[in-house]
Amino acid sequence: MHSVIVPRLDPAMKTGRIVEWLKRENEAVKKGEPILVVEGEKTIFEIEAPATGVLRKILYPAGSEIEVLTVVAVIGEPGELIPPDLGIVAPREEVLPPPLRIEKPSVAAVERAVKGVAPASPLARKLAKEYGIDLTTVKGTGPGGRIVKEDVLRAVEERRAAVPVAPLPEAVAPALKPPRIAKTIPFSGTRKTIAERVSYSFHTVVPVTVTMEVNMENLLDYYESIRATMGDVSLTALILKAVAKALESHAVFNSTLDGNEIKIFEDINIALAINTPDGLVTPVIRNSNKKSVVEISNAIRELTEKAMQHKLKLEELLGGTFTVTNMGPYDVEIFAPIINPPQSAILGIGRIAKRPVIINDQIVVKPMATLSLVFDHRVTDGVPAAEFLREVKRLLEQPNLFLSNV
Amino acid sequence: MEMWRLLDIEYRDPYKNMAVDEALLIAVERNIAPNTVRFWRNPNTVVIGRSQSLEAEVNLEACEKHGTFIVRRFTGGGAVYQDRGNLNWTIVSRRDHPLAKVKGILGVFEIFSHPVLEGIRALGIGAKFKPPNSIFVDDKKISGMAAYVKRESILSHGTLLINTDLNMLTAVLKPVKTKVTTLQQELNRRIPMARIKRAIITGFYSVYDLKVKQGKLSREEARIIKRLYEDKYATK
Repeated sequence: MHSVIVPRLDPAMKTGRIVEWLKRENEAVKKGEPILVVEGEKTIFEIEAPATGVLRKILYPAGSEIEVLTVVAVIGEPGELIPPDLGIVAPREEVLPPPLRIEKPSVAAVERAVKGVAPASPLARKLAKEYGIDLTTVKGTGPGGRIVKEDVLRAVEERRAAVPVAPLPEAVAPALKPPRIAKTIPFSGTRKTIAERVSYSFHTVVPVTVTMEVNMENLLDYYESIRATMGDVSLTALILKAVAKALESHAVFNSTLDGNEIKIFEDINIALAINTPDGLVTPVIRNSNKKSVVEISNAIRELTEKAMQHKLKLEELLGGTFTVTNMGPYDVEIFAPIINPPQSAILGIGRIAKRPVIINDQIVVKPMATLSLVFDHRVTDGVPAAEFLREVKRLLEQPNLFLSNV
Repeated sequence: MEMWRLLDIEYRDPYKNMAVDEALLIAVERNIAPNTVRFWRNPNTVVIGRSQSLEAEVNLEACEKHGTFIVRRFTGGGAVYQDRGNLNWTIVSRRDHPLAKVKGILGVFEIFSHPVLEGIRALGIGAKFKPPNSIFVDDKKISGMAAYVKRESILSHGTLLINTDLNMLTAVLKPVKTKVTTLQQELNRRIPMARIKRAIITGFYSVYDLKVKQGKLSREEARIIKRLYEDKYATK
C-alpha cells in the first residue's frame, strides 16, 4: 500500500487544488507515471505515482482544495485491504516541525459518523483551528453542505461583529501601547531572499555540526612566502583550494538530495559567503579544484568587488555545489552556518589565534583555527563528515600536498 | 556559450498556438527538443486558466458579439485578453537546468521574468516583478505568467501588453480589480514588435549569459502539435 501525497514543491506552496485525475480508481498505474494534476500558486504540477500497482482509492475528487503533504490517494495491489485509519506517510524530508498539523482524511469521516458534523474542506478545517471556530456551529454552503473556506471566514466575521470592544480606560491605555518604532526597514530584496532560503533550509535539511581544530602554522608560512613572490593572494583562496581538493575524494559532500536520489556533482563549484551592506551573498567559483590559488584569489577579489557594487550577475550566483564561509576576520571561533540549498554541506572557518597546544608532550604556542562542518544528515553520516574534515585538516597542515602548483 | 532555441512561430488560430506551447513542454521533457524561447501572438482571444470557471471569468455575450475566441490553456493562473497588440513569450527548459532550480520551482516566474524585465527597461520603462507571477509598471500590470511543471521539463509563458485594445479587455473579461497598462501607453509612442523581441533576446544574453538562436520546429514536434490540436484543442 502506497500513499500518494501532494508534495511541497516550493517553500511558498501551502495548498493546492486538484485539477484533474489522470487515472481512475482501480486503474493500473506505473511508478513515475503522472496520475493527477494539481494547481498551486498559478502553476500546474503533475504528480507521479510513487509505486506500480492499482489506484485503489481516490480520497479527494477533482476540484478539492488541499493542504500540501495531504494523502490524496492510495496505490496498492488489486484486492489489497485499505487500512481504515489511513495516516499521513510523508517522506522524511517533507516532515515539518509542529505547529503545522497535517489533516488525516479519516478524521473527517470519524467526526461525521460520531458527531454528525458536516464535512469540511481541509482549508476550512485549518482556518477553523486557527481562528478557534467550532465547526459544529458553522453552516456549510459547499457541495453537499460541505463547509468551505468562505463559511469559516464568515463565522469569524460574525464573531468579531458580536464581541463589543470596550474602550480602554485612559490611565491604562498608555501602558498597553506597543513599543514605538524608530525606523522601518523594508523586508525585501537580498534580505528577503536570504530569509526565504534559510527558512527553506531550516525546514527541510537535517543539519549536524562537526568541528575540528587545525594547526595553521605551515599554511601561514606558505601564505607569507607566496605573497612575497606572487603578490596579493588571499588566505581564503588557499583554504578554498584545500577544501576543493578534499571534496574530490569525499564527493558525498559535493552533492544534492533530489527526490529519491542523492546526486553527486561532477563539478566542484564552491560558493563563498560574502558579507555586503545589504546582507549575505554567495557567489560561485566554478571548478575550484581545477583552478590555481592565484586564479581563485583573483576570482574572490572580483566577485567581492561586484558584490559590493550590486553587480553580480545571476549566473555568478548559480550552480554552487558546496559553500565556504569565513567568520575568522570577525573573531568568531566556532559556528553552525545554515546549509545553502540545494547543497548538502557548508564549511565554516573560525579565526586563527595563537593557542597553547601539546605537541610531543611539550606545550607550545601555535596558530590554531577551528573548522565547523555542517552537513545534511539525510545525505550522509557523522563518520564520513569527520573523515572529510580530517582530509581538509591534513591538507591545511601540509600545504605542499595540494599547493605543488600555485 | 550556452545556446537556446528561438521560435518566432505564431498562427492565426489560437488553439493551434496553445497546442504548440504544450508540445514544446512535451518535446523538452522527452529530450527531443532543446530549451526554447518562443514569441507569439493571438488574434482577438480570451485565454483562461486550466481550472477556471468560464462563466465566472468571461463575459460570454461580449465575446459572441465581438467574435472573440475563447481558449482554455493547459497552465494555471487567471483569465487574460489577447489581441495582436499583446506579445506572448514562452520559456521551456529542462527541470535540471540551473535557472529552473535556483529559486525553487515556484521561483521560475521571477527567474524567467528577468529577460523580459531587462527588455522593458531597455525600452525606457521602469518595470518590476511582483510576486507571484506578474510584472508591474508602478501600480499597473503589464505582464502575467503561468506555468506547467512536468517531471523533466518546465514551461512558463507570459503576456506582454504592447498596444492591446484595453476597451475590448474590459468588455470581454468580468471586472478585474488590477489596473493594467501597455508599453505604448507608458511610452506614448509606437514601438515596432521586432524591437521589443530584440530587447528581450538581449535580456537573455545580459542576464543569463545565454545565446538565443533562431530555430524551427522539428518534424517530431510538428507531429505532437498535430495530435494535441486534433485531440484536444480543436474539439470544442
